[in-house]
Amino acid sequence: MIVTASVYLFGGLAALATLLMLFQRNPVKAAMLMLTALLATAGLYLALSAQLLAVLQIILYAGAIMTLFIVALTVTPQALHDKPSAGHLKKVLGLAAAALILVELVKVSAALRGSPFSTAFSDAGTLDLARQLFGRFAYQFELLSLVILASIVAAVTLAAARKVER
Amino acid sequence: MSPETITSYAASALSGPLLLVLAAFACLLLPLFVKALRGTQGLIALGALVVALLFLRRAPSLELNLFHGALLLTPLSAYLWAFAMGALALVVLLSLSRPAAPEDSQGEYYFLLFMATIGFMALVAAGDLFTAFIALELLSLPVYALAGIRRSKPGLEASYKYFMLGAFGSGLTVMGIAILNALYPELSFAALKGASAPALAQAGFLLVISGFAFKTALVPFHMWVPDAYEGAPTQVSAFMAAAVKAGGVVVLWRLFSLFEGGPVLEVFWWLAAITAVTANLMALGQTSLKRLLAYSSVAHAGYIAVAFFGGARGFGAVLYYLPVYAMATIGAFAVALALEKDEKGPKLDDLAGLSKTRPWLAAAMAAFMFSLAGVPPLAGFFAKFYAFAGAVNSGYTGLVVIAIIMSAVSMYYYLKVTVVMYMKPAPADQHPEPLGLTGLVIFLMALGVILAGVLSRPLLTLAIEASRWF
Repeated sequence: MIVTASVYLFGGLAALATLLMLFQRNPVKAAMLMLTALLATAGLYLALSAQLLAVLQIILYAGAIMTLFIVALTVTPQALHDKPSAGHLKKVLGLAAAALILVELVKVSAALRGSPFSTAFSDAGTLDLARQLFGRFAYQFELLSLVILASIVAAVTLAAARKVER
Repeated sequence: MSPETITSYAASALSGPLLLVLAAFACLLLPLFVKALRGTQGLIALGALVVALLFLRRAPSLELNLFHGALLLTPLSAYLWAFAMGALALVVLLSLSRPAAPEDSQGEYYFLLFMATIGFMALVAAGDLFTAFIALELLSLPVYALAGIRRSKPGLEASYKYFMLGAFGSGLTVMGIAILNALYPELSFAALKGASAPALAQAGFLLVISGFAFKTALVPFHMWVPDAYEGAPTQVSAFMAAAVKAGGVVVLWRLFSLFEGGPVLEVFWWLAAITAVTANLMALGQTSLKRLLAYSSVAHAGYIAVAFFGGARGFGAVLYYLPVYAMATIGAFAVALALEKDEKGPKLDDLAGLSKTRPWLAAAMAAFMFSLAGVPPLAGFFAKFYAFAGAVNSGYTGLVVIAIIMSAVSMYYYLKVTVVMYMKPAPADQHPEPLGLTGLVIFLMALGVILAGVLSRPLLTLAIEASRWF
């Protein structure tokens, strides 16, 4: 009962926030609404007992990607003043594409009703992932840490450049 | 072989890359904390490399499967690791003689160089596609930054173009790996070899191949090469031409050898043919030495792709080709470095009269050019000979004919360099700078190009032995 209620609550919140974001002209407010939608989706995952996915959703999307959006908005001030162009043709085309995607999504959801995923799938949790990551894939994990470190050093080296030039 | 010997071999084999990781951190961090060490990053790097090279031993004939097959220690990996460390040592020597990076980012420069080399080592020893992809990123990401480490306009342009196209190539690879992962439970090369390949799998393989073809710079995935090689510091261009390309070649060979025939091999056929034709024709009109070498490196990727068709023997030829090509290219880039006055490197006209002003430099450059063109008795001739002979034996005569015709076309632009050096008068105001360590690198490479040709047997034996272990 509680699960069903929270699924509808978070699902509705996500849908509402997304709709409001689409009709929002202020980019910062739109970003905040998108953040709401992302967090609501995380809640949805939690209600469906996919804890790992929920946490990853918050860390990756709500955390990292939203921060990137906000930073991008602050370093490009002219984005705040841009008025979206309002060509009639573009609007019609956009609405048609949106309608098409909506129809397809409904179709896919209807098809998924008949074929529930195996329970083993939903059981794969944080612990299993950690076992794989630090067990079988330990070498790749360590290699990735070098990749990330090298990227940070590379980015800092190139970014420090600008200061020197000025 | 006893388990103790195997363990001690594995320990000594792995201590090479681990030492490189340590050296990378030492170059980056030590000078920050110890003032006396500032500006000595190059020496730290060189010292660590010498020690790492001392750890090299002849690998026993067996495959050591580490980390669930992610890392395969074989004579092949030993051969390519030695190749990588050798190339890195030469690039470090070049950077010691003429710094590639500004004063304040010397530490970062060597750190990134070492990281890229570790990526190369993980790439050529990778036992599955997933690991190969991570290693490819570790190889590529530092090199993107190295291309722009001077922060000048041509450098940043090179870096940006390389990064954008490289990221596009990586995207294709990931997409391909995702498709393959959906079809096969296991992505190790050994498991993929026997598996049947439905149409979707072939699409996945082609995506992966396109990604690695970007790194190897096969036409039509070569667009970044001329700008990146020209804009990057010459030391880094030498590293890109020698090491980054070799990494792509090895993985492309592993992918190639999964198939007995069919559309994927046809795609390889076209890649090899188009690369040999386009790159050589484009190189004809170049006036900048670094751009010329860039197109030449693309053309050689095409010849290497021709060698693939020789089957297992062809791979032996590829393994002989890689160091021979690397020696001539590093040597030629070292000459470009010795003559460069601005960032973009010397024009061909800047070489005029070099035979009068610096006869030895001109002679070495001529040796590199003739080796790249494939003139006997230099090593480049034997490399091309073995590469093409294998493909002919397997019945791909048409492809080899195309490659040989284009190789003849390439004679034109390699000879052009020599003609400028020996036939054109030198400009009046010549005051050559001393060569220093660059001269040592040029000398070593010229010696190598001659010796690996006249006495090709030892290197060829090593290459063929290593080629049995892909």
